Amino acid sequence: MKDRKTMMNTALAGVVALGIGAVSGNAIAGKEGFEKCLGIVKAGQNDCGTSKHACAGQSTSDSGATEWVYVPEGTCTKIVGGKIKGK
Amino acid sequence: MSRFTEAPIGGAGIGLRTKHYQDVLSGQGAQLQEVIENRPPVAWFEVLTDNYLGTGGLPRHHLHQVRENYPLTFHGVGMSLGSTDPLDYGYLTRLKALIEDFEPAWVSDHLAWVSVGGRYLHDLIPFPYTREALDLFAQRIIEVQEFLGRRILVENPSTYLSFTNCEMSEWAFVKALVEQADCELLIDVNNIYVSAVNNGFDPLEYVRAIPAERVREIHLAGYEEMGQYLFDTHGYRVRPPVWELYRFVLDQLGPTPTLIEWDNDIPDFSVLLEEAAKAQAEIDRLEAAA
Amino acid sequence: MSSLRHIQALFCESIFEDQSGSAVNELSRYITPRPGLSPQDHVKIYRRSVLAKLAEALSEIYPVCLKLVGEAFFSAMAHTFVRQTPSRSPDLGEYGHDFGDFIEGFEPAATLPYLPDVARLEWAWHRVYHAEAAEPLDPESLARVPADQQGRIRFHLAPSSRLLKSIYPVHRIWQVNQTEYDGDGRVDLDDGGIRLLVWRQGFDMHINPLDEGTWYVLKSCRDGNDFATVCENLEQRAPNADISAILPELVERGWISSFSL
Repeated sequence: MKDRKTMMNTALAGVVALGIGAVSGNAIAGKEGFEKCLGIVKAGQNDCGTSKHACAGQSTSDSGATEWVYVPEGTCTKIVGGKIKGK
Repeated sequence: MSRFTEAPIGGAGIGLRTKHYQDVLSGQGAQLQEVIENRPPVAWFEVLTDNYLGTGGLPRHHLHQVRENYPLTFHGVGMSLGSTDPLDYGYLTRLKALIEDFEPAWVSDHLAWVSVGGRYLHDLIPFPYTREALDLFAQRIIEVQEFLGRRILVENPSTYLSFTNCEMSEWAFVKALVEQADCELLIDVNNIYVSAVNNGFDPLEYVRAIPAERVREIHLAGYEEMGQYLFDTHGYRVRPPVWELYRFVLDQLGPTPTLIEWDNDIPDFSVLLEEAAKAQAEIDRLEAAA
Repeated sequence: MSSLRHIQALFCESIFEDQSGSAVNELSRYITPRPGLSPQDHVKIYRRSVLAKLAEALSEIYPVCLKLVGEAFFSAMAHTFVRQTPSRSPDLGEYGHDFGDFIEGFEPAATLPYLPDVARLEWAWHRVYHAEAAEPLDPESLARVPADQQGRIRFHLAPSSRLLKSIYPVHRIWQVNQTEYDGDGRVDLDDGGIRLLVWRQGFDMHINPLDEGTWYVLKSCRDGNDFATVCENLEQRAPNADISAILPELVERGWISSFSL
């Protein structure tokens, strides 16, 4: 327990030693991650009540069909391996 | 000195969509920091309030940059004014904070309902024009206006059905509503035309009944021909019969700020500028004649 | 019930009901037929528009999932989801938080076991984009905490950040499916799992893989534990990790942005 107290104390001292202004973070931002920079604009989902056409997936339920006829045919074909993995 | 431009709303504006940000803020997709160097000549922008309800984040940051140089109006669908649910004060609180942040010239929503039983449909659903609906609608507008501390504008939607139990026409309902609720109007000329074709009434009769002194703004957009009916997709240039009806409306109302809306298959920004210029020319013509 | 309330309830049911059509048939009594359009046809215009709007919101929030499975599959999957998931917020940007959970139980997507976690990553990205930015933590303020109170400090993650873990390399899947990515789109699932932090620094969005120690510290803080418990968790889960190295770095990066006692 004493050990942990020392550890906590050291950790907090490490933070305090950063000093004010250290947290701008520019130097270390995303050094090993992925990022999208200034200028990224995500679409807003709420339009002004304009009407929409049915999407492709609606046709099955409109006709009462219950059979699922779609197969994934996007970039998932490029994802390989993982055969023995499972949850 | 205000942190924002104090230019008033006038002439032809454009409905701002997120897809336009790069045009509005920085031209050729350059970084947002170079903002507004070649900003397009637009009299004002209308923004969709429901996209900025979050208290922080990038959407508000972008909007701030727009607001510094352009006057704004607010337009939303979330009030659900025709709903029999209680008013959503959570929504109104967020809207009020947004209004305080961005100081729009005015705030509008629709003659419709979008939610019932706590479920949001996000689409403008019509209701039968009855005394019951009129009292409910007026009472809710009064409460909203009291809460926001300002009048709101109500816009006529495009409709694809009419109810058998209506007690009055839409224009009679609108006329009674503005009196009872002491609100203002946003007249969508495209929607009048679409609803008239879909429900078989005379658009001119509608326009003649509009209480001109209540109208602050006009909307224009392009509908789609679906065979049995017209569909309000906001995905085209304003159609010729709508331009014609617009001229009739302007003659009736006098020069009125007019907005171009485009939501599906959004084209190059220059197309929107062309549409706005057409509306501006009509307003100018009217002003010159006066 | 007022007649207006009744009509609205019927309308809403008509949008989401199955093929039985009992709500729409009752609603039809209130709708004027037009040449070529029955009352049911009129309602169908709204039904399709509402469902398409919800599905379109999902396609904007989950563009990588869309790219992975293609337009037709995504649209049909989204449509199945929206039929059983009403929106509860006036902001459509708050719709679909549980799309990842839905995909996990969605039989036709079972061949893509990583898809639910890709969706969860996209949801995290979406919410971080919209989240409030936090002021950074002032390191000096920690110096004022009395020594005997240190174990009770609760550190809080920046509101514009989300933790996410997967047994699949979902960050790579996400990366190679960005529109501006021009490398080989191949990803090997045998590269293994990943622990991630999605966060925003000012106006930049980031996804950072985390080492084990950093992950457990952040997760333990996020779960509301005090500093003593965080250290205890770390000792159990990642005995080689060093809190005195991790904590200052988390503060410096802005991933921990405040604390309370």
